[in-house]
Amino acid sequence: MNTEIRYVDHEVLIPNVEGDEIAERIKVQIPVTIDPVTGDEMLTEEAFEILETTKARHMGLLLPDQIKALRERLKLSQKDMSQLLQAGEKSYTRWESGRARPSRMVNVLLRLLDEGDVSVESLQRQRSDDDGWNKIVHWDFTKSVVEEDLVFSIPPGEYAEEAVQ
Amino acid sequence: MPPSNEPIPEDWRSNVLRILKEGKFGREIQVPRRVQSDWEADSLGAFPTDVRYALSDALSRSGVIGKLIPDQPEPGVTYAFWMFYRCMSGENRKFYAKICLHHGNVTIKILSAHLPDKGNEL
Repeated sequence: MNTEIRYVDHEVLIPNVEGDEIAERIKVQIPVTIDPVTGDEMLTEEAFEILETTKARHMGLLLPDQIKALRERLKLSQKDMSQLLQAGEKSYTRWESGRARPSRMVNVLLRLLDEGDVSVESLQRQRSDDDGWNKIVHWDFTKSVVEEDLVFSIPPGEYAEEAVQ
Repeated sequence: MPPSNEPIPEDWRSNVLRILKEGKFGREIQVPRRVQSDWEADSLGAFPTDVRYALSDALSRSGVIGKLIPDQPEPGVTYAFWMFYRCMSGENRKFYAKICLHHGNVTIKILSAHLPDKGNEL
């Protein structure tokens, strides 16, 4: 392989929010090498980095490494992070490995966390509130109430007494 | 006699899968710029490295059908096969894919990743 680096113009295609059309074309310069057998312009490692980061930046997305770095900075496990974002652990793991990408909505949340505009604590509170709500919704009045449900789901006040009975 | 479609040999498949899983783009996984442009346009703006997963998914089934391409200038063994990619819009698209496994089984070159341009023939 010819290792001489050459810089060429390349267009990065940015999809619209629905993902069914190209909304924008961003011109970048990327380093390539020339395949001595075929004359193909071959993308270098750096070229891939430029293409990925340009696309992520214009789509407002965090890259897998950035998601992982954010979690590590917050000192959370993958399980903690998936619970915080109210996503499946498997899905979250896939976002970190790049095997799948989070939706733009989840990305907004990740960015807010990254920039400190929303705190882990506030999301945890949100999570606790939701847990309570879910448990009330799935309340089975034909069975006895378990302690865990009482702790997380009974709002203070009139319903607590009724539920204990 | 022209080469026909056949199950892709296991050793070729496992070597390519390993490189797709462990290799780095621009090093073990080599991609011509024209292939990247096709992939990005036909997938409606997918990330460049997302092609790795579409290719891996297609090759992860034992007995997957492909077509040996004997006349490639690249030094190695080349197979063409079909792969699928779910675009951001949710649309599942069928792609024509072609990979050369270079001699030595250390690097691959992705030669095609685009919508079919010759109908349903590999």
